[in-house]
Amino acid sequence: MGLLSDPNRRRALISLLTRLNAPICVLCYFAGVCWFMGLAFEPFTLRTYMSENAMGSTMVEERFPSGERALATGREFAAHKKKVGGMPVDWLVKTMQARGLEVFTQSFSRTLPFPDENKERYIVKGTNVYGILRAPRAPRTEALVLSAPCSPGDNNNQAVGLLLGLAHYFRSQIFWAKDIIFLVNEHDLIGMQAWLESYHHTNTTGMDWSPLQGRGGSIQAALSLELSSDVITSFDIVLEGLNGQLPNLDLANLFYAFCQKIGVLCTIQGKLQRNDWDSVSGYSHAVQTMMLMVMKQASGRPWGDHGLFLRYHIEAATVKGINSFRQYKTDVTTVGRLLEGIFRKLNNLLERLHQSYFFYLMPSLSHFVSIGYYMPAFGLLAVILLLRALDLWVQFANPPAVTADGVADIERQSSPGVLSVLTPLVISHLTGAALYFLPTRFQETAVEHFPVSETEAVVLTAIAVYTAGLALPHNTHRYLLTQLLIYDS
Amino acid sequence: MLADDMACNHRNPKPATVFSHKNMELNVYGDDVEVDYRGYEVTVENFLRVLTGRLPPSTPRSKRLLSDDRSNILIYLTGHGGNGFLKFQDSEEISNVELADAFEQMWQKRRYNELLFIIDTCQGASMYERFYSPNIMALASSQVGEDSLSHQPDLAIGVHLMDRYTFYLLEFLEDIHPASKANMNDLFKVCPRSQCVSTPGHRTDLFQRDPGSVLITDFFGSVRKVEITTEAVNLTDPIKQVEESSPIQNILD
Repeated sequence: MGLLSDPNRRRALISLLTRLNAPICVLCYFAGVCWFMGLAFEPFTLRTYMSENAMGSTMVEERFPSGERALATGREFAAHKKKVGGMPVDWLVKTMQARGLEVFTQSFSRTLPFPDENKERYIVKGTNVYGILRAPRAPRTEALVLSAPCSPGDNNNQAVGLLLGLAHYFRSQIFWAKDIIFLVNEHDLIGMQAWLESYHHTNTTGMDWSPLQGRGGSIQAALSLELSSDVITSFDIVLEGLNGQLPNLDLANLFYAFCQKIGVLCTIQGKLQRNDWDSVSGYSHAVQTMMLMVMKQASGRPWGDHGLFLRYHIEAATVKGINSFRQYKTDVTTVGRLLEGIFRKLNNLLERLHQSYFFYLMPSLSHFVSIGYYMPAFGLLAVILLLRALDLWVQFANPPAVTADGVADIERQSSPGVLSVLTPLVISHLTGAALYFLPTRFQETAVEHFPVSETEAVVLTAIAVYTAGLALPHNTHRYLLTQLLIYDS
Repeated sequence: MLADDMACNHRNPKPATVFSHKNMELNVYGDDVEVDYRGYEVTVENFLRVLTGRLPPSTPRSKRLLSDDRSNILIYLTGHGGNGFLKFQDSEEISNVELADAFEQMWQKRRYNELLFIIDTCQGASMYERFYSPNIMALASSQVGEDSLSHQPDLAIGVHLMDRYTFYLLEFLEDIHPASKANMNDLFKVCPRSQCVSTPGHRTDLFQRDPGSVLITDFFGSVRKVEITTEAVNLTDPIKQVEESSPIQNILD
């Protein structure tokens, strides 16, 4: 007879389960944590490799010449930005048109759920400016996006300058097979979301935006550029997007391949590569990098303007130029060459990036762990829940206190009544609904009657619901125990 | 038959040209190139139909082989291949057995006099192993178990322009002119291992003549054999014939 249909064997298995439940759970927990920590150990990881055949092995010789001009344009942009006190829309439109792009603007406004603490405003208004470089000979079915945010103050001026410099250089090339959209977005994520929503004709956030007058084809890949200094010492890539979504690993592989080719120092999570994986400090460095990636994904917020593209199945990443205290500096021409090379490779794509992994962790830029390797760790932690549930089920079926004789035990398979199971189910659903609706609904009432701000009101309501819920398990447990006693007697 | 249009690809910085080397000396996609099957028409079925002549009656003459028992045929194949197959269009393959059977069908119907088969793929020699029809000579760029490699990349475009065997074969053939007396033994020596990295191979056992006596121009250069006949042929005057048969001439007069 089979393992589970033979009553003797089943009884033995069940008794094993109940007897060793706690040790097995502890073992699973320990194994899960060790497995996860072990993932950062280099021999257990795989080297990154380019999976997409279209972005194959041959590299192009990049020839972007005008880094200095890009910096000058950036300074002009900064001056105009200061003069206007926001986004210099007219100057950007004029400059992009001078470079031969089809320029369009989009205005948007968003009502914030909580007023901005700094500026006491409810509505954020802004304008996006974007220019489309049409592919000289190709049909307008596909597009690539290069974006730079228009940030207040001294940030990201060089990024916009480089964007315009690259636009000028790309315009004189005839080998583009996809339209390239150069986008300067205001208010970072809000502007980017407005642009994407309008581009894809959706409206998920309820923002007000003017429809886009000009459009490219379906976007194959996007790169967001952040550069705030004239020279950089390293180049960082940010992959984590909204809800922890990641772009295809091939985008990171592409970035790393070009970093190696051009000879720029490249980092991920702001951390450099290290060669000493067998030492303790090397291993802890890798663990830190990996855990930083895990935390950033867990936070759910997009860590760059690229994060919003991922929802539309567009592979996107943010590249940041970082200027720290290092001897070797890289100038903007080299950065331009790196971007040119990346765009030429993306130009060769015939299909969307899909050959490489979508779920992965990177302990360093040259090594990765795919979902097939880190899921078992979570699986082990989930097995603990399963074991505890089985233990509880077995206890319900055969309460250990009431055992007259061995044989009678197996016969008496009294399953708990529907009501006793339904009650905690309904209560937990109600609690969930309360947590979901109450904080935002009662926000205004709370602000009126209590001396708290809107954000504090939301948090405090949630805490109140949690505190009320603390009493629930105790009550349901007591209720269930009384039910069991009724059944027994 | 060209499956990919590289000359007119949007990514070609030098449109309508395919150069053999980055020095841009020789444009192999010049004015004298005529492509009969392009793009999605290049399938195994179409290829075998062209060879065996089993085409629908509506097929234009430019898409037919139009060969008879006095024709010498040159077949040159290149692309991705392996042990016993050549890849067509990402979704199909032609096997060496199919090819051998197609050639046998051609022989049965006397659709060729002599056939020269050149293949430049990985493990190309496997493609001619199965031939069994007479008068076939075959050359391949690599033996079974070897890869055929490409020549040099052009860093302005970002691709390798040509395969090694094809490059050296082209270099050799550019020196052949219609009056050349070079024979097949010279062709077998093209691209030795030092240049090609793989070992080119050839097969001559099915060929009835000795390879040393076969001129390269028998297959290349459109050199046709002229036969002198001593008999006289009477040609009737075509204009008189038309005058007798059609009354329209009288109206025009």
